[in-house]
Amino acid sequence: MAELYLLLVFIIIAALVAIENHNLLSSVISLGAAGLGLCVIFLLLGAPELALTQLVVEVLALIILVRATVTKTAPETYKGRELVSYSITGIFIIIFMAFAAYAFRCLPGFGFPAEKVAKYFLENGLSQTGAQSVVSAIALDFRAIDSLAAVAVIFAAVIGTLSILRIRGRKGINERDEIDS
Amino acid sequence: MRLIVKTVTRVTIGLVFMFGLFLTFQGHLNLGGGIAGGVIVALALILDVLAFGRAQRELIESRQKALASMVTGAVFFLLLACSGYAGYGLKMCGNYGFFLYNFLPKGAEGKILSAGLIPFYNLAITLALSGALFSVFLSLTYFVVQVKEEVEE
Repeated sequence: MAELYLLLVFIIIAALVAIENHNLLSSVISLGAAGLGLCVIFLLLGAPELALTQLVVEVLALIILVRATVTKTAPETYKGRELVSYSITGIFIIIFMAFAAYAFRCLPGFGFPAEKVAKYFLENGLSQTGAQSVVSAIALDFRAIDSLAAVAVIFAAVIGTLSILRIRGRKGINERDEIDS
Repeated sequence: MRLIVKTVTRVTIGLVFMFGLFLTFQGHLNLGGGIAGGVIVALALILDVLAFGRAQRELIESRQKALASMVTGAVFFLLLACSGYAGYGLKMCGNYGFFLYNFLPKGAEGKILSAGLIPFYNLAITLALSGALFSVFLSLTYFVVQVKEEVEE
């Protein structure tokens, strides 16, 4: 388990570097380091399917983010509202931690298969769906509506990206909103 | 890009593409599935663009094709899900088929054509995901090109 904690510390450090760094390219690369650390953790915990997906998604995200950030400078920062935003963030963090502490007490121990539904999936995956891979049996048969929602989310995300990434039809820098008048 | 990159890409890109399709089509038997396969197919296409480059017009055309692939995949998934309603005529399940009902026969364990609709779901996810990711990449590339032109003007 020691290597697991080492990797977790590595991920936390990489995430902190990604947040605090003022160079966007360095931030993107340390974000990729955090994701690859998560991939190694999945491998150590015996989840090769997750590790594979995490790896390929991480590589692709790295390429896209590098492509997006490499020609741009750092974005402008918002000033004057630090106190309000920090206090609201703090309040929500406290609420979240309280709920998390309450919820973690009710959970079964780590790796302890107490969930009856999960056990049913594992035992009946092959016989009820005919798929040898139990991951596919769950993702595309027992809980296929999750996959449908995932496809819908990807669809919406791409439409949003396309509507943001355009030059023609955008407002100019000095152009005003029509609502103002 | 340099000659070395182009040559290596020319040799390996087919293998990368085939590996993505392999992961897709054996997703119900082993590791892989539509998501990993789709991302790897998108990576092969991105590698092609990065190594050989595209003219501006080709960028737009490729993006149209990628978007068409995405829409096809998503609609295909939805149609497959709705085809569960057709399960009524083919196999009795209670008295009616239902949404996302896997009505095809399960087949022999370990064969490519087994597990009913699951391979087709994987194919639909691969189409949608590879098209979506590739179109995002092409949009970013095209955006950067346009911004550069605007700055030069």
